[in-house]
Amino acid sequence: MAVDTTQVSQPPTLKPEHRRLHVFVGRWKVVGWNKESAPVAPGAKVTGEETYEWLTGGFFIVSRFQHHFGDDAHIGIGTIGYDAASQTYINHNFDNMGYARRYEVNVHDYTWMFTGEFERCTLVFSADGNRKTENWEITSDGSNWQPLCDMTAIKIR
Amino acid sequence: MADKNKPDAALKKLDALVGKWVTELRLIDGKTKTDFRIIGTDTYEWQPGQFFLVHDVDVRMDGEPYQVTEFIGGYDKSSKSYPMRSFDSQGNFQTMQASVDKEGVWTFAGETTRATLTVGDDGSTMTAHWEQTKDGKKWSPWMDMKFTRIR
Repeated sequence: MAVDTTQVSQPPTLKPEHRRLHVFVGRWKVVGWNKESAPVAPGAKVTGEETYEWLTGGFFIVSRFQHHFGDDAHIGIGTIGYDAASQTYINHNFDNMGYARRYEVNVHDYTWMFTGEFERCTLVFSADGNRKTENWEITSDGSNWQPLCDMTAIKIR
Repeated sequence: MADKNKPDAALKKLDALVGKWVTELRLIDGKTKTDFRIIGTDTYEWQPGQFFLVHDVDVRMDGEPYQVTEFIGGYDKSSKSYPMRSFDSQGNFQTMQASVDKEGVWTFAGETTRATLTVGDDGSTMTAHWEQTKDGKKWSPWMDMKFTRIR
């Protein structure tokens, strides 16, 4: 444990941008498809579940996901938070394949854009917040992007 | 991401921390030490795949709830260390590096805080000693912690 009172000159303060993360909170049922250009299980149907909940304090969302396709599963845990210095959201994910991924996230209306080194995603919430669609793309060189998977999620709690 | 990746064997050393622990803490201020007080619990659990350990801190500091979710892993061969990334209820994101010596004593190294963690011989207790620095050069004792396994 590290309560680090010396590291930052000003402690973080809650902003409207933090509260905007509330749109994720809940338990979601996921259905989707890997695209033909996906490196693992191309064309496979994806089913799964995701949960998002607040870490005490209101600064970070803790996210857990389980996506099953064919005989494989992509399972992980992570956080989404707002970085006031860069004025972007940051998503960290840690998964069952050993990857520690970091995405910069920007939002406009209902659309959240996740940009990572090798993957990116356009996530759109419905107006009532009970549905989200995700279009994922993948790159090996940072400039040519191929479709990876599309997913739709319904909030069940 | 083609074949199933396998966790580095060095990650198994983190098994020593796995479980739920009751946490006691005493603060150190120069020559003054407070008494040890139970402040809450620390829990360490492997994530599926066994690459990342999730460490949840659920304590009260100065009577106020304080919680941390921290991810430890994977294993960096070049530095022989395990990255640590923590997110807390005060909005802080912090990175540290964990390493372990031949005797099984852990060191957690950060920019302004660092600690040594020793697991007892029978694995049912741990002790930690924390230090902090304001200038990156002079380190002062900060707090001692005791952990007692309940799971």
